[in-house]
Amino acid sequence: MSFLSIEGLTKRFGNLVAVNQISLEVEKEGILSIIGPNGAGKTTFFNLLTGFYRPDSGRVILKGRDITNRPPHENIKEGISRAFQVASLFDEMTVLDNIRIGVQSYMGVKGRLFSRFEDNAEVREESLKLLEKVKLQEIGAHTVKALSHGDRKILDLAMALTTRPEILLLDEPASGLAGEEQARMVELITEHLRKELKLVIVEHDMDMVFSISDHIMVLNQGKKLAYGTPQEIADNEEVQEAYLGGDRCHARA
Amino acid sequence: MKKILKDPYLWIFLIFLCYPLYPYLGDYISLGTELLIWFIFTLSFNLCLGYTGLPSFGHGAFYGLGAYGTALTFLHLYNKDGFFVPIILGALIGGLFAGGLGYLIRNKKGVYFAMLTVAFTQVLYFICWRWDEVTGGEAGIKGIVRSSFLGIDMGNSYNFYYFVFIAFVLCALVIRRIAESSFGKSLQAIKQNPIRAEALGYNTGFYKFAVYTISGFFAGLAGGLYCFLTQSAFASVLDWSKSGDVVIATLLGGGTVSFYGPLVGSLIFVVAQELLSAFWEHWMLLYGLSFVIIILVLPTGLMGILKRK
Amino acid sequence: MESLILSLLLNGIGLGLVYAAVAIGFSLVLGVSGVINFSHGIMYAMGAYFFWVLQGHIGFWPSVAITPLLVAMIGFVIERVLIRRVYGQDPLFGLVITLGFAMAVEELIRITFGSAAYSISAPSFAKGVFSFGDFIYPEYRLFISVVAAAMLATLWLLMEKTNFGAVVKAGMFNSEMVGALGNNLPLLRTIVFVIGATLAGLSGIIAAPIWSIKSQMGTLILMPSFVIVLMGGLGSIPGTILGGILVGVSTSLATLIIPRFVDIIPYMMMAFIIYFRPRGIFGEQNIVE
Repeated sequence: MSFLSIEGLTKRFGNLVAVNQISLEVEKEGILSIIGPNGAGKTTFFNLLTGFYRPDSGRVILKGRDITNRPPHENIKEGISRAFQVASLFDEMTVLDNIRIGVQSYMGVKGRLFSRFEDNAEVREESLKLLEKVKLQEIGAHTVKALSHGDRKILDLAMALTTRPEILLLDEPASGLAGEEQARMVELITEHLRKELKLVIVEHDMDMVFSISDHIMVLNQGKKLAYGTPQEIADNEEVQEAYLGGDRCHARA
Repeated sequence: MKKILKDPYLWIFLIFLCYPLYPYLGDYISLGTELLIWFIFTLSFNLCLGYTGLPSFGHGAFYGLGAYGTALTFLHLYNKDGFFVPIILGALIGGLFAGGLGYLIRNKKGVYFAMLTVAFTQVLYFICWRWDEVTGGEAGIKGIVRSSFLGIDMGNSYNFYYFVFIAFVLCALVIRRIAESSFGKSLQAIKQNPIRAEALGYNTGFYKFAVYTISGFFAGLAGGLYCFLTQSAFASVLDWSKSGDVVIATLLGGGTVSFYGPLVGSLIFVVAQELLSAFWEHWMLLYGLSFVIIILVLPTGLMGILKRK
Repeated sequence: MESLILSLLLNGIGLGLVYAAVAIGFSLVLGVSGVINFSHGIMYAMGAYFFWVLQGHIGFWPSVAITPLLVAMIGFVIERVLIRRVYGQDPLFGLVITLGFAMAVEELIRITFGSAAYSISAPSFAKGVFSFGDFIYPEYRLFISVVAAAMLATLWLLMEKTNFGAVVKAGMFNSEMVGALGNNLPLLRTIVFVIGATLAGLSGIIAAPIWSIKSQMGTLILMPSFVIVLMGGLGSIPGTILGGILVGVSTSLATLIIPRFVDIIPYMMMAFIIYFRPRGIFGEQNIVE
């Protein structure tokens, strides 16, 4: 049995079929990228996997357990986690507190009524370790509102890691990043994360996609157009015609 | 030691410990008692508004139910040693109804949440108003006697003040502990970004339900104390104007930006109301206008001004 | 007995249509602007009071024409000066600012006219009674049902058959989209507020001869609006009419059977309905959720 299997996943919004009968078997190792033009259903697909949307039909099975129709806060316990396209943070809190909110959830102490948040040494230690790993330790005391775009994206990804997922969905991790900031993100993904967990990435930057991915799925108008290794995708004439040629210019523009 | 000296609570507690001793003010002992009750009420409300961002417009009902619960317990069930049992039962009733409502609307957001709190607490108001046999209807319940507590004569207003003072200190400490707890931080996370909180494993609906219940409990407790202060319980306490009062007192002080905001707000609100209503029959005009001005000029309240500087 | 029930039923429908004519403005403002408008009831009260005062000076028809204009102007001013400031903020801000305004105006009415209730006589053309066999019913009560129904029908035409209506409806699903499509969202919100205020003012005029005018009348009409909106579904005209009639008829009949619980019955129905249909009978997904 494969690590994650998706069977005929479908989601409609009124007359629009945003995700149409997608089936996919995903292995435990390596990076899977999902590409496709705007409106192809990539973000909707993520929302379906993590429980933010309920599919109209189809199933999501993770490690042999059916997680379809479960709310996001329960899915997290099954080891699936996500980062957001636009960094989704607790803006009034410090960087460290943002991480701590995630860590205290993972450690199961988030609902303690009478033990002080500040005093939980275990949560603090664990959070500091994670900050170090993503190299944000120096700005731990800064309020999130004041962060640069690059730091926000990194922090967003770090928060997704707090719940120690086995599979992590990244929605355009490099969007809006350039130069050194992008290099930082790519390094984090390829040097650290790919060894530890399964990554599923939606990304527009084709150079990045083809250099880091082990497999690529191409979506178009909600449907699975192709699936294969980067080489297979690059050679796929259908994909080239429908999408790659045109969008490559887009991505560079 | 230094830490304790910097704690705002120490100074607030000291000031109100000495309240009956101040010349002039000491004569207004029931005003002081009412103020302490308002402190409990607004602190509890602010767990919802300031900490979780829940726009509840129905806390007057939990306060009122606390008063009724206390009055009815005292008259029909248990009145041996004064207050304790009736007040706790009143608080539990406040918490129970808040919990029931909170459970029903736990997944509603913003304006819709506010609408539902108004509508459902209005039902409670009408029930209390019309169910004469139990609640005394329009005439309310009278004849609550403050006898004695642990052998201390509670008929004496000063003794009663200190009873309420102790209740306030305990509630204030517990509520602050909750606000600073892991749970309290989770509430703030849910307020700031519910979607991310869900994604991190927070069952946001459950947390809203839980804080609404806790808040209703303390609101009920405040109502129970108020019942003994006025030695009565009336349906008018459940009316939406009470719910409006607690919102405005909390906003005025700056509950959205500071834990202590509700205390500042209540102080000004209760004193201003007392003075206005004593001097001008048509004080409601100024009262209504003050709502408008507070929202337009001071949306983050007085603590908001302090924090900006 | 039958004729009693029939007249209570007719009373209930008339009451319900007036409720609906008031509630629809409350509902549209809530849908388009996200503000729980506690000052909506005061528009109804102002309609009645302006009409009452003007009628003594300039006669019936001129007052009928001028009163709605006055209320519309006041609605315009308070939307521009006060309510505009709270768009997009905490829902309690809108609620508190409109509640404060309503309290102040209500007190102003008490200062000017005292707390007593006044009764207004029905206009001479509808003073008589309508009889059918041995069933007798006051003409004026039929008259207000017809006028309220006409107001609702006009609004329905506006919402269903015009481009403006389409934009208003779109605004309830996605206010950003309305702005993005080149519509002037602030202006749209002002217009919707003024329409709501005018309908409430007109309702105040026609209702005055039946339910005497008093300073609390604005507050008293507000709660049915809440119930009706939650019951019928936000922004839905058919839902509002149905909700209004349900509330009107049930309270009217309840006075016969269980007079003590008249006030509670609408809330019971509301609780029952939104338990099964959380968005109300005709409710659809909208921005305030």
